[in-house]
Amino acid sequence: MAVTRRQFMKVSAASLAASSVGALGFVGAGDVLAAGVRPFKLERATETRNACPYCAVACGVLIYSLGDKSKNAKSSIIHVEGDPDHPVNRGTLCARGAASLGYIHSANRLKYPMHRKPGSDKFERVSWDFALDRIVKLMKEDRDKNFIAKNRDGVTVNRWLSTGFFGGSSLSNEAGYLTYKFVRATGILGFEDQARI
Amino acid sequence: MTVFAKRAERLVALAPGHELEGFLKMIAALVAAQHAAIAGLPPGMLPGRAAGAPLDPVTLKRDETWRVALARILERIDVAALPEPAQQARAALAAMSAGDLEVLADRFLSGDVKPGQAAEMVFVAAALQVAWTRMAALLDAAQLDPDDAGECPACGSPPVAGMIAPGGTKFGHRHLHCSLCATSWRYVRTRCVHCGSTDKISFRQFAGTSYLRAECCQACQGYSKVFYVESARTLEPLADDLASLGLDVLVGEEGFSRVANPFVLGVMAEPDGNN
Repeated sequence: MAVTRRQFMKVSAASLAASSVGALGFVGAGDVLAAGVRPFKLERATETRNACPYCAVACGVLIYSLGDKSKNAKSSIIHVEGDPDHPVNRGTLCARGAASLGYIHSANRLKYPMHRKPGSDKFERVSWDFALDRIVKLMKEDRDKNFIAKNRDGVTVNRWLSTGFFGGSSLSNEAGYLTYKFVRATGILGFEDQARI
Repeated sequence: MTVFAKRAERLVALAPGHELEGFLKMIAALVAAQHAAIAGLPPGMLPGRAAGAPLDPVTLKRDETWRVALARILERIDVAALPEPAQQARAALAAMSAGDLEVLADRFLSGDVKPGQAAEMVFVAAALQVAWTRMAALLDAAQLDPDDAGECPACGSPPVAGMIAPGGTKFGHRHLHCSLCATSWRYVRTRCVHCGSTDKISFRQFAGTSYLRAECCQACQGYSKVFYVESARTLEPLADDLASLGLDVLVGEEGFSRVANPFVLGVMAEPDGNN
């Protein structure tokens, strides 16, 4: 209902001249204004909502970048601050969260799986397929070797104590649930998932 | 100090040397007349508690208060600030019958302003602002339901601009300011005030400035202005909207449309996405 009361206007020198600005007697004002802003450049920026990755509190952040993604321009992140509309942190961030910008642009930031071969002294970039296959193979080997089905007294315990698992701090409820189900099903007891609060 | 006194003061401060100096000075005189008109207005009707916006002009039957305000504005305004066409509009309104004035008010409130009436309509808009602002001031804010919408919770009108609060408990919140009754209400940032989309929002600002950005929505091709009070404490939403029409010219060239400022009326267009 109220939407019908929105009068939209595309502002230009011509539309200002035809609007009440011109009708009240300021006929050339729109042209003067348009000429006056001509030397100024418009800067494009975006403000994107996200969750801070550091811990399970998952504070809301606003990520500011210059450049407009929709125009295929290369955008670069210039600022990160707490999201004032987020119910958890209401615009605040801890020291680490407030320093996220440094982490985003860090030269040491891990961007893809890396592998250090046995005996090697350096990490090399590998594919996700290689990394996941390798992890699965090592987990299987270790579990086959060290899985404890029954304890000394013959009671079934199904423990796997020689491998631990780290979950992620900004997992959703559902992803956290699936992670827990998977890890516990293998018998792993050493499990740290920050999505525990 | 009324909202009009503050607005007039800001307009007077913004006008000197501005490309729209004459226009801003005239609106300053108009707003000063609004300030004079709101004092001692005869008591008007107030609706009981209604569902939705209690002062929505579509459902609220208005009384003659706004015409009293109009007569006062026409009488008190500083005529020296009015160019010839504005003076003619003032004289035409002063001679108009109550019935014709009500027709003009209906047109303004239903968003149906014709270019030929643009000059008269500015005075009508000013008088309606006075009547609605006084009614809104008497409402209990706790009874209003902002409902997460881009319309004023008191009267259902679109906002004139948004302001980002500089500090205190509302730090960083955006409040939209009503174009008719001067109510302000909180609205999530980085969200289109026209269509509610959060998807394709991007901002435009003059390079090197930080107090004002246009929040543009690629979903509906609409935009609205966001002022950052942290960067310029004396900002006043309606006055600074008028003083920053230059940004509108550049943003308009990119194809975006905005809700009209109540004092810049007459050339209306649907945003491209709504066709």
